[in-house]
Amino acid sequence: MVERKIGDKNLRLVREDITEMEVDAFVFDITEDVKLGSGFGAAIQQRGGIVIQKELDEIGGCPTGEAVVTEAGILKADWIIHANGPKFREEDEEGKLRKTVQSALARAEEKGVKRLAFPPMGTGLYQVPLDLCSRVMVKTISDHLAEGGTLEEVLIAAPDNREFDPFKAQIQEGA
Amino acid sequence: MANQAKTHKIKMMEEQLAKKLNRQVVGSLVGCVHCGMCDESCHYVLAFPDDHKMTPSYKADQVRKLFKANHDWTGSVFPWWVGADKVPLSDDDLETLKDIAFGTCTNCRRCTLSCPMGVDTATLNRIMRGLLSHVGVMPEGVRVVSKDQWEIGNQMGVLKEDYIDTIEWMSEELEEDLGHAEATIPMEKKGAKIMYCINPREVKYDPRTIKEAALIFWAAGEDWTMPDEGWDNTNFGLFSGDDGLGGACAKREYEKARELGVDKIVISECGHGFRSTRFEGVNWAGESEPVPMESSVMTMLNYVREGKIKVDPTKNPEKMTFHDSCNNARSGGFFEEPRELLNLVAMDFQEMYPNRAEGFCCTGGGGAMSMSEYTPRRLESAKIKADQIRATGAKVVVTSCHNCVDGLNDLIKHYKLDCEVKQLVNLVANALVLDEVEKPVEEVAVPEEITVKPVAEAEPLAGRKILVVDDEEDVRTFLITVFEDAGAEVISAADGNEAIAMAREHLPDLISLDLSMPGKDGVETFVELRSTAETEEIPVCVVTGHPEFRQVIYDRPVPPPEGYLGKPVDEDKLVAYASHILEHRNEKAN
Amino acid sequence: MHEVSPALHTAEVVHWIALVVMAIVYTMRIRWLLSFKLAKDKSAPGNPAQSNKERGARHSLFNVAMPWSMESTRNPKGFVFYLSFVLFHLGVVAGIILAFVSTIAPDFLRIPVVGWTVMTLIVGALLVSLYRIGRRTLRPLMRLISTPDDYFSLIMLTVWFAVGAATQAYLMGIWGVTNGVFQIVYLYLTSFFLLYVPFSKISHYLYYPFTRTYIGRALGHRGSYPVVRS
Repeated sequence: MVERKIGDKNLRLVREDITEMEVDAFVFDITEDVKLGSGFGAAIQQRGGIVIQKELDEIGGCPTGEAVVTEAGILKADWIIHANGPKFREEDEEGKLRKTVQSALARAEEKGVKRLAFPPMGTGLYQVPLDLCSRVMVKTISDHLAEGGTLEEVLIAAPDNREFDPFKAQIQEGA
Repeated sequence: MANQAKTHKIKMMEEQLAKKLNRQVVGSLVGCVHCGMCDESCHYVLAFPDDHKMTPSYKADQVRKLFKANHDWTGSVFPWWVGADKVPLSDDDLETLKDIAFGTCTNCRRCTLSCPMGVDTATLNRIMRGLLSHVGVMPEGVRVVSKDQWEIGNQMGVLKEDYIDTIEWMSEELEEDLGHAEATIPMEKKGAKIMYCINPREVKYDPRTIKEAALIFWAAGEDWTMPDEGWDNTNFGLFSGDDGLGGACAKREYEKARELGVDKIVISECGHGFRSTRFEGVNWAGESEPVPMESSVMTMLNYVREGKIKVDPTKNPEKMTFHDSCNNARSGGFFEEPRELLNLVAMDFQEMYPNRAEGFCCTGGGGAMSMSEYTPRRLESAKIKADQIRATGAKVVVTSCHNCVDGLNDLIKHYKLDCEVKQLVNLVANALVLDEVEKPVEEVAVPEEITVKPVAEAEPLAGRKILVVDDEEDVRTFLITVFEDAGAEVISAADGNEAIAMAREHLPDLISLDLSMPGKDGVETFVELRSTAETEEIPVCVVTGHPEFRQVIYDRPVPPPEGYLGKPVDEDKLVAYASHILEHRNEKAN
Repeated sequence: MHEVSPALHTAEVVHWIALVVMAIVYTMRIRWLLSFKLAKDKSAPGNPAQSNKERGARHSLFNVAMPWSMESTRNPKGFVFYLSFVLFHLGVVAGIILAFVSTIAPDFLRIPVVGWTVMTLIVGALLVSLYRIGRRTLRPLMRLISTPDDYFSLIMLTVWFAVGAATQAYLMGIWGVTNGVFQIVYLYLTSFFLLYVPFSKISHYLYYPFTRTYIGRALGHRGSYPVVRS
């Protein structure tokens, strides 16, 4: 098991499909127009129901670095935290990624979430470099858990070795 | 100064270009003498003789300019002298580049063979695509599909449960067709000899090819399996130019094959899937010891050569021609074996010219089928292929590529050719003779001849309410009759507005929807149905003869339709599809 | 050594210096190309029956002498263009021979069979280059893909061929050309070319062995090259 203990809290790496995880909430890397679109977005719509997009349409938008929350339809999770991370090599990738992760964590705390799952934010289509992503995410999440709050466990869901390995290295480095 | 005006995106593209340079690429970048000899090798040039921007060297020059401005001596000091001053400066320029790189080239590589300098123009165009997609500039369809492949693991966003459901459906049908308990599709079988990887198009829109392949494997007594993940042999990284995606997709297949401990991966008839999995993926993924891999055509040919299956070519008597997929033939050296197999399973083969490595693209390559904004241009460029096919007088165009099947189907309809498209798996399954074949389980009686047919049930759609939407009265009448004969209660609409009103009022169990209708067309109707609370969950089976369909599956403004059938509609297939969609919907609801 | 005027002598010296500079710059150019990593295709050969990297590379390298190997030179229009290409490039070779031999053994160029061969090739290439100027400037397609370097290189070669023809006529003592300034101008033009070529498209011949070998190896490995036709 790849994990880092931070006091009585835990940061853990898993290989699961994020939209099917039994957590209180999971994070979805959304675009500014809050359209679920394809990829995980399509899985959310097909597995969770169309109500999620409806709720997002009412919210209307989400600027980069921010996060909004919806219910999770008939998915196993209760909430989906839609966080708009940096995309396609935009300027200040690192700063924006840190802010996005912080926003997602803050929304989770507001909802009293205990178990939260993140995908590697933007490392696929959105071209965020894996080394930068794993470093920033692991550090930001660890710092947050160290500060206390309702969150007890944060999971990073990385089914492919491509993502799993760099995240594993980051988590173990500071463990 | 050009440098001062550069946008962040362009700087990122330049940074990415530096990472993509290797000796071969640099050779192609510096080698062009602008002689113009590549010009007429390109089907876009031949179809649009007055639009000189179609010439391959012009397309390659787009990335060449960026290279010269940043890496070449002369271009760095005197950019205007070598055309390096005309580099993109604004993000609007990137949109123009997108139209060139994605909309006027299928990366078929035909021009490469016509270059006296050996410049690999198609590779340069792919690099430009990669630079653009790196900064998010790409056709909507490419973006949608790439995201699916990154996150879901296949290019059509087929969820694991839907994939398994389809495989089980085909497995059950095979078992029933053959009346043989062992005739099933083995899933996740460790230590099998073969892992069979397919194109998601087969799962979504052409599952019969899976059953036909399974039938052939069974007849040959093969020890094979299908994986539950890493089953997608396609790779949008080849089309978008994103080597990262290319490597990730290929790696999933390779790692799955190692996990299952199979001897080799067999790749179903998909041209770009074959090239990406068999060749490019190995390099993108940095595989040092790739798993052995082959095209299913090779597997089937070996079965016939070795006498593992027996075929009767008289079952396929029509005049046939063969279309070489560019990725198979030009980039894979795979052109004699499909012909050998075709000659073994069919009676009348007529070559089309030019062919093999010099064949013309079906015009659906390079991801073109997913870029609906370029459909009119694609269909116009298809005139070259249409003329080639027409000249053969063939009634069947055989090809070993799913993309080519779609591309050819579109051009056949557009140019009103009197022929249909088949793949070798269809022909081999049709020609299969099972009476003398060694069976895995001997005591079970098997029918002498197998015809792949749906389960015969008296009224499989009894108790279902189906809304038929089509503007052509004869088609509507035909569909109504078919559904009513299958026991369904049928209501109908002749246009989009009427369809939406009726769907709201009657809440049917299934909608059969034509996409080409006057007034509110099928795509708009479909999007509206899917975005309206009362109708959003009604399953839709698209029945169309036109390429508009690509827009709903690739651009995907709303969740895609549950089924698709091309026109002319096969009665049995329609009922089988409708039954399956409804059963699947019930299972999900439960 | 032959007797030369001081002006011609200076031109000759400049000319040889230019040759040395060109050699140095070309060496740097090749080193630059080789500084990029050679990509290796790690996939298994495409088709055991046809795949052969070395055969692909060899065939590709000699593509220049096989007009039947490419569709673009196989069709009638393309074949005529190919013949003009051959004449043009043989003219370049003749022009280079003229430049160097005229400085060390001008009498060799006065042997009728040698002299007339050189003259024929240079004049032939001159005519082709005039055609090429027309092709490049009048055809919209060619204008679209041409850069100032493309035009300049062609025009300068055309001038070089013209002065070369006059120089050869002077050396042979024919057509009433008696003014030795042509030879001096020709040598200076050649010197300019030697210095300019590594920075221009004309250096394509330097890359030819590389680009042809690479594509031949790549497609030879896959099994699609040399092209099989039926």
